[in-house]
Amino acid sequence: MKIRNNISLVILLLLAQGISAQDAIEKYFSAYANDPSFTSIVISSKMFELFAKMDTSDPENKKVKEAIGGLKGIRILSSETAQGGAPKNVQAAIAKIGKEFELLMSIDESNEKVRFYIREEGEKINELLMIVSGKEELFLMSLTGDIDLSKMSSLSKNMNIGGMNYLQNLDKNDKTK
Amino acid sequence: MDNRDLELLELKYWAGETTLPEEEVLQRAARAGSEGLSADYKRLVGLADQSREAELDPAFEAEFWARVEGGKSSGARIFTIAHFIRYAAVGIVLVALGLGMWDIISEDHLPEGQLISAVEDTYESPEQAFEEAKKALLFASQKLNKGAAPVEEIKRFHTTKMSIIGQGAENQ
Repeated sequence: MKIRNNISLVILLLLAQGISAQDAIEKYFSAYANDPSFTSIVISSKMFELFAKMDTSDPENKKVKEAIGGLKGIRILSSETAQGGAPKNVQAAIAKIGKEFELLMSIDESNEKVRFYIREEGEKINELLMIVSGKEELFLMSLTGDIDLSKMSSLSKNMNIGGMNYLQNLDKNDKTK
Repeated sequence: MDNRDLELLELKYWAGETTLPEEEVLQRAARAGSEGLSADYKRLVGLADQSREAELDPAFEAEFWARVEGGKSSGARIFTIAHFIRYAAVGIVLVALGLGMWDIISEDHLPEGQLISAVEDTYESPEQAFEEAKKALLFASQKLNKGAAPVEEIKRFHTTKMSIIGQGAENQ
């Protein structure tokens, strides 16, 4: 009887923990998605399912489809003028992410700092978080799903699209909901 | 009954062979202080008489029941470590459930659009979303390659150095 009671308590504890535990990035995006100083972009797993069904003859798009095959979602937050409670630099942004994220790469330049964080489960990378901070702007991108870094890396080697100007081209009017 | 008869009757008593009337004769003689009986038998009769006459104090019963009732009404319980662990576990479960519920409730009360934007797609058209995903991935890809470039350079330098060392060794 006592053992049964103890097992029930453990199960209840685990359930309670499951309810209270939340994805740190989910919280982060929820906190700033409605901040007027942030541009928010969400591409859900449903949309990624539609990508797989899209017909494309363009070889570049085929490569992109291949690279994003395992992805389940993209969330982007970008701010050009950090205001209010929003983090004003990369350190403040990093302080908000959970301990389950591990630093993959950091690039420090005079006008920009870039951090890549990954969240792994076993041998697989389940989430890639990219934080870019400049003098005024802050950019966060979270990729979830089965992430293949080599495929991602090969994308820009094979293409000639202006990805480097991505931040400048983010159009708030189109992308903020 | 003379002393000799009393002595014989006492011997019969200790042998367990006396009848009840004979025992009454012995007891009467003992109470009368007859010299024919032993001091042990007289003491035995004296103690039996004393115990028969002994009575409890009339206040004893009342006091006894008062104590019994008092013990019940205090309701004192032993609080063991097992009790503590059980109550602590229930407390933790309640706190965790409370925090979970608080999170859910607080999310429900987020300003309109804040939570939705974290769930709903920004783009309705898959083509538009694909273009955006493509640009974002290219941006991340270029940054990844930028960070990896110095490492690749070091690798290339190391490989070249090792091949030169290898060629030098072969020439010698």
